[in-house]
Amino acid sequence: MMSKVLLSIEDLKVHFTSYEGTAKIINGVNIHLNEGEVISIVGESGCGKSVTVRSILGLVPTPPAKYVGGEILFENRNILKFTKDEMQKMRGQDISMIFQDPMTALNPVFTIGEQLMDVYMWKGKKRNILSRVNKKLKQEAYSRAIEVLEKMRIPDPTAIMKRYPVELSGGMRQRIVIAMALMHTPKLLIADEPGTALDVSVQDQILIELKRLVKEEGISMIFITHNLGVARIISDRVYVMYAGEVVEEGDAKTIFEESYHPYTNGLLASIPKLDGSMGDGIDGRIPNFLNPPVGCRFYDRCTERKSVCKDTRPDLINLLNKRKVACHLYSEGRN
Amino acid sequence: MSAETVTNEVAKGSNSRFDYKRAWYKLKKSKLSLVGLFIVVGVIFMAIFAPWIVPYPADATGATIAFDKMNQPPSLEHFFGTDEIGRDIFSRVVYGARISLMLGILVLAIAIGIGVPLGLIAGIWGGKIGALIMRITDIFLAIPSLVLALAVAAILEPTLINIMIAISFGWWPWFTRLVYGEVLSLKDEQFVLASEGLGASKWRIAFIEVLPNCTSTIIVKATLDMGFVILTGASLGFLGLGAQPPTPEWGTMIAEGRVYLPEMWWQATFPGFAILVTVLGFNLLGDGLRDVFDVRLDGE
Amino acid sequence: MSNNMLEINGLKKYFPINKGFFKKKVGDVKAVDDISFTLERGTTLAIVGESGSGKTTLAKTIMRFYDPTEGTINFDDRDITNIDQKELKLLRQQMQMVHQDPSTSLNPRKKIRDILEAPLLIHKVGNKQQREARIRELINLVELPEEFLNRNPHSLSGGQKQRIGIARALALNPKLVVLDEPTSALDVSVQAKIITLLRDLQKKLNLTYIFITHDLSLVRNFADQVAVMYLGSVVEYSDVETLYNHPLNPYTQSLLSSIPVVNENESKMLPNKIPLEGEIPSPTKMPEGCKFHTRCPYATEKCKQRPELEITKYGSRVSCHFAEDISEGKVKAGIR
Repeated sequence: MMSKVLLSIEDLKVHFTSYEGTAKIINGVNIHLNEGEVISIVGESGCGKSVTVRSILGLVPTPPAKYVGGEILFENRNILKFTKDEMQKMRGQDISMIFQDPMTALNPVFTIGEQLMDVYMWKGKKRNILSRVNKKLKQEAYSRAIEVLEKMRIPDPTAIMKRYPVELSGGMRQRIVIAMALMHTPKLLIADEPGTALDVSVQDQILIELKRLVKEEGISMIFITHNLGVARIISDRVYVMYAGEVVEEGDAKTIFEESYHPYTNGLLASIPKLDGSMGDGIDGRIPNFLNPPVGCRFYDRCTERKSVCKDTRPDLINLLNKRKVACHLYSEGRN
Repeated sequence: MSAETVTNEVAKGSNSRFDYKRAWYKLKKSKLSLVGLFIVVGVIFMAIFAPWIVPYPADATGATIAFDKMNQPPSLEHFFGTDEIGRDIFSRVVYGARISLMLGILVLAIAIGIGVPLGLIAGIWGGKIGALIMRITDIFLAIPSLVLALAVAAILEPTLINIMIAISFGWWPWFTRLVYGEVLSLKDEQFVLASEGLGASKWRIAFIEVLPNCTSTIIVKATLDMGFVILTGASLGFLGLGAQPPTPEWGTMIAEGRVYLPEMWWQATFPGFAILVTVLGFNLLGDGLRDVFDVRLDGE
Repeated sequence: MSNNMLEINGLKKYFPINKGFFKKKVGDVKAVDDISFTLERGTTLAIVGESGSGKTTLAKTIMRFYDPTEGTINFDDRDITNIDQKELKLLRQQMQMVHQDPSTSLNPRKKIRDILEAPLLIHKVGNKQQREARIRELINLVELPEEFLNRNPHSLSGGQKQRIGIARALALNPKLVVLDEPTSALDVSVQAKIITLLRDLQKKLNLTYIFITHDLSLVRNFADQVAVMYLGSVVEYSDVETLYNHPLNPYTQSLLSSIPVVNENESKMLPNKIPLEGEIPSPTKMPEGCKFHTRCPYATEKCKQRPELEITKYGSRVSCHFAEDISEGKVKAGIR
């Protein structure tokens, strides 16, 4: 059984121009997302996960960015070719985004209720002043806001609606930010490391709520994080990115039990384990994007490199169990 | 040595001195900043080489009266025309750049010299000393700087040096306020805490650790202020409290030429134009420098 | 010379809350509320807690960035609770701190050489040549090439910057180093490297560490002793093995249970999920009795009284009325 593909990023290439030259930040990324699926993109700082997902919403400023190749298909339409109006309409309605920091994502001078209702009343067209005095629409927005807050299992939603962001704790604010993204029941939700600014116990609660909610509502989600454990909890499938490329993809349940790409292996080994073991980390640092390696971008840091890795870029190849790996170690039928 | 470190040496070869190439790249991005830079360089050039570029150097400083050349309109001989006693206005305007620039530089040097250390001390020491310094600053800020300068200039004799003192008197509090605000935000940076933890004295923290981090803000502010100081100097000159005739000061020249408006429009217009262009130039350049000093690294 | 590098006794740090025009004192923020422990030479104590637990304030009070409100601090067989500015400067040589975020803890306008020379200049160590030799020694100690001395911090990666931060802390040969979440701003692959380096340095230089962290998973392979803090108090204090095998305070259990682990094997090692309600209360409105009772699934009437840190059968010290019962499985979560 094949489920319908909602979003697919095909061979995306993004360059950034700066004074030093052209940085080849995203180098042929392929990601696809089925309807109702939750995927995670994991990787360390500089791997390009944020640029990739922000491209979906057209949030990457051009210049300095330049889309040099590939396409992003959302319901079979190429987002990269969208006009400003089409993009505006899609944002917030079809695709919503939750940002990392709940402290700055809310406007401090409006109440929670005002902000939630505003999202609902703004239908993606030019802001209609009349909509603010439209009683019926307002009533609708109000009940929708209460409904979403109840779905988030936020206690006493009517009281929360009257509060200002400063009166709420960090965890509560993060929930409000999520509620805001769900006001229109988007088809796709993009979450940029929500909860990383919060304590583990609070983060844990929020992730559980978020996962339950998207599954209940049938919303697809792309979750980006640097924490492999979080990716494992929240998603169905996981993409591991390194230096602007996808190096491994697979099922969330199995990908970290047995990983194949040397980078994923190194990353997993670096995580401190509960039994007290911890690997030595990965030597070196991400390559210079102005002049990246021609072959595998992980070449310089790889412990298992071969001569072929230096000049030939490995393709993402299929292994067993929906696993894909971009590494020459597996290109000759070894799996 | 670990392998992490070895591969990284190639990663970035940036050295520690100020990166002029990067600065130029950033400044170049904005056309208006380039216009500003062009004007400022032009004004400085005029100031330095005035004796060699002007056609009638004697007219600039002297009070020579040439009845045969009185009140001539602009011509090829006299680009900006002549004034009521026959002096070449072009020569006087070019010489005026010297006076205005000197005024600006000296006033700002005094204002920075007083204002910056006070701001640093108020910010780092805080407490009663800080409160005292800042309240005095507030008192000065409450009086419009032009009024303050007028008062001081009225008490002192109207000479160029005194006018500089008068303007500086109202100018330093702006730098105190600026640096104080900057220090308050830098104080929370961990490197300040780190040097405190190393046992560093407050003097060291203020002048060795924090001050270098304020320089870019000070330079931008000083560049923008250059224009305003020149304007203030010209205003005082116009009111007769600044440089006295026959000094070719732009404000004074406008005051002299004002009487003959509108028939002999060139006498007041060209000095006024010089002020306009110079002030504009410094403002545009200041805005450009703000972008150059923006610490965020582009494309990273 | 006693075996203990540090002895803390009944340490309190209160910050006054002032309100109104006349700044009348209306209460206290009890950031550090009656904490006692000892730390042996050459060992590591991890202080674990969420934001607002007072872990950083505790470390800064020990380092005498703050004056303690009450209690005593004995460092290296000497009472440092009330020493003056001059002695404090000398103390700074022996107690150093590695800061959380290496991108802000190094002055962006200085060269690495100047950053490493600063502690030597402040304490007037050696002449120019001796200082240069020491700087080179330091940069080799943290496994960076000497060429880096001429660079600015911004041209270094996060891990390299933190190495410089460590080198600076070691410049004056301290005996005690406070590590304030030294890896929380770094990627995991770099974190592992830094932790390894810190461990090697501890062995080589016989350092005593206080390791502040919010990440319990890092503690097990780094610390000897663990103090779990909640709202200014230590709620569980034990050696690291006991903490992982027999966590007895419900708060410790919940912290452990919410670690996002990466495989099935590990998730079996976690205690059962303990759902916590709400978030850490504001330290200005500290709950009466057991500070944790507002969020604790086990809480009963009894918890309106404050529990003391008591020694359990595993040798750990736990402040919870039900520690023994929980260890024997007598209490179940959710009963109120």
